[in-house]
Amino acid sequence: MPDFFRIFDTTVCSEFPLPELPHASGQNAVLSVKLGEGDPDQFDSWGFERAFEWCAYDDRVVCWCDREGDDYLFVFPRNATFHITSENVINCFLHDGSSMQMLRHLLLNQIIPRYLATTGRLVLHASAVTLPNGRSVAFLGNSGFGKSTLVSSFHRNGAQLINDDCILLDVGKHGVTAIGGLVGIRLFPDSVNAVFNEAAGFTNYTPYTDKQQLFLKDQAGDKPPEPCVLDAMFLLNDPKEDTDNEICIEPVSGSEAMMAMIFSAFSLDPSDKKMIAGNFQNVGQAIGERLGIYSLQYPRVHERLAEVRTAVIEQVACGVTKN
Amino acid sequence: MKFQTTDRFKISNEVLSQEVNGETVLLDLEGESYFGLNEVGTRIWQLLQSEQTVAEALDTLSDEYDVSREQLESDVSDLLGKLSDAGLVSL
Repeated sequence: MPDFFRIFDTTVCSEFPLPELPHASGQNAVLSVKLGEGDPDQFDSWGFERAFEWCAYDDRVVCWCDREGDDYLFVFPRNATFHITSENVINCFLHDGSSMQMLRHLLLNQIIPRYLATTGRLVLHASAVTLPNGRSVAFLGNSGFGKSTLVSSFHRNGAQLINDDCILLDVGKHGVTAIGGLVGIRLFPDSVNAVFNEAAGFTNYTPYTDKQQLFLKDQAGDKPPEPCVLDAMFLLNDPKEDTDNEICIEPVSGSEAMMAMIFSAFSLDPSDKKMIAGNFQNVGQAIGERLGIYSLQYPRVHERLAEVRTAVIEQVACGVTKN
Repeated sequence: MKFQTTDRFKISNEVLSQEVNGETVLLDLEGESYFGLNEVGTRIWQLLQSEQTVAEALDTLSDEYDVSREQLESDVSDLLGKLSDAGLVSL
């Protein structure tokens, strides 16, 4: 029996349970998720052509996207294949040796955000929280730059999590609204211990990383995270850069902000010119709104997180006053 | 690159531009590359969009910026060379 779930601004009708997501009414479900039948190799004869490959630091291909018109085949070779059709159906094929938990992880954190980008939405690899004072901020940065640790630290100190790793931005008359998908956090064990003091509730979700995952049911219940108008966005510096142990926040230029956001945008096929142009336009509109964008440089030392939080809160207060 | 001040540069149909907070980002869909322009570069780009000749653009910039004509010609020539090399504009 299909069930309905909410992720970002979208209602999904799924043939299999998605316990990570809040339930939704069946109205306005635009996306269907199904378990594919047969072997994913069946697509070999369908005429799909390689559109894009994503490589790890050692040049190993970790996943790829094949296309045939408006149909996409997104393949994670060790785990799952997703056939995204032009009729807004995602057929999921689990590979031998993988698990449904891994399939759901890839579906919710990779495939659906990328699918939403094909519908003209701007989805960024970023984390966001609403501070205890009601101001909402987002943090943009590559994997490993510290987004999750930072928002976890804010969450442990009274902030509401909008999303740990992926936000949908909607530009409207009130500004730039951040819409979250999953209310959960993924952290390496050292950050779990430092920020949460204990590992209660954290579980391993994939054998390929030491990161552990925690779903914040206490915050969300069975409701989607509240969309929030963003007051500021912070671009995290590369932790490998020498920061002289300083915490430094500075405004960034419009072009620098734009480039950072464009390169953080999700897409199914990054070589698709229509999608590139759409993201370009969406990012330009977002930056044109009343959104303070700053670089945030800080030492990645857990003991300094309280100082980083204070600096961010002060900067947001200062920026809001100016606006 | 060499050009005459009577020349009019044409912007590639594959280029999209977005002005953000006084600066401009150019997207070249053909080469899938991005190009950032500062405030003065943004003004030059606006003049290119209005299809002014190089001489007309220099006259406009002379009226707007307190910089010597020689410096302006050097800056405009430098930027046009970079934009042309990147395939974003052509004669």
